[in-house]
Amino acid sequence: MLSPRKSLTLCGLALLLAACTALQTDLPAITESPTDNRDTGRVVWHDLLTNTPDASRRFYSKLFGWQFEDSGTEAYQLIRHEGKLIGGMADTRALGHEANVSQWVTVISVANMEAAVVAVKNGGGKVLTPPTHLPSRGTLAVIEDPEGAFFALLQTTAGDPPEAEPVLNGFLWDEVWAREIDNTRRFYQSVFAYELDSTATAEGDYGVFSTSSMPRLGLLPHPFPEVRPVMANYLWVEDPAAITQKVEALGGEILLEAGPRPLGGTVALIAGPSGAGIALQTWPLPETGDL
Amino acid sequence: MKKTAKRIVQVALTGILVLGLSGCDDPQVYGSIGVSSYSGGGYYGYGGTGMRTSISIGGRIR
Repeated sequence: MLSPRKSLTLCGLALLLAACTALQTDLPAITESPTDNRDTGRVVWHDLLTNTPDASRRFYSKLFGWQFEDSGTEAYQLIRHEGKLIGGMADTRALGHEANVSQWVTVISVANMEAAVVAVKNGGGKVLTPPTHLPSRGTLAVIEDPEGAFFALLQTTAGDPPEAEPVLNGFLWDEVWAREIDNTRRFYQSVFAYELDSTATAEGDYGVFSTSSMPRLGLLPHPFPEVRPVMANYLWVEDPAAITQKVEALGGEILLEAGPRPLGGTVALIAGPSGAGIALQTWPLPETGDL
Repeated sequence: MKKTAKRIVQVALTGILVLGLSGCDDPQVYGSIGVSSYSGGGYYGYGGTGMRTSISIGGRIR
């Protein structure tokens, strides 16, 4: 027989384990106003993977006024902007490997995870994390497209957030930077049943994936072909140049100085303290009619 | 015999607890990214430094 003290200790540890197990296998819901709808192909969330969470929190708070709050899980914080949840921040030091995987992960909604995963595999993509049930958030899978760009699929538990207009200093857009445009187009259309419109620009065609006439995701010939294909994320800012002036003092890096772009408006590319990149652009675009 | 069984149970419980606690609070769903796809290292989302050029990128148009 175990002594009463040992029994109590084991019970206590077992309770702690149960609590940790619960935390480990859950993340908070992405909205406080779930719609009960799941809009396949819609970008519903962004997670920042960072190995410098404190510096990253300071960086995004100072530049964009975001608030970070505890989620109940030490290695994961929620990001709020103007009162609304807009994303999460995961501490990659808790992942248990040496690689610096700092980056923003685009999370795309699906109504049927099982069908989406089959389409990913049939289309030449890889399922890095198989569908994982997170009770509060939903079922999440981490995907690599045929060229190696990462994103996540999410079938939300209670439904996606309501559709909302972009907010200044919040997320505005997401796009795939691909080397083989046709193959990539086929992949995303097969997984999300996207329609595609193309706009001719001086730099080549710019593709806009949409569902139900709602623009969801861009498709662009990779501007840095030597770099691994990625899913790029854009924030709507008033003045990209004014932001970039503050980036280095906050531990970040300017990857592309602010400047005009063929698609209209102004754009810049920066990296936070962990190296995770994010683009900044003006919006709405001036109506120049010269796209 | 009884003592040995008790010992085995204690060791097993301790092992389970250690394994469980080591993963406590991890955002494990994203762990696969580093394990299977970053063998080359040095990747920082957009390739790190040396990109301050006049290259155009995209962004929302509608």
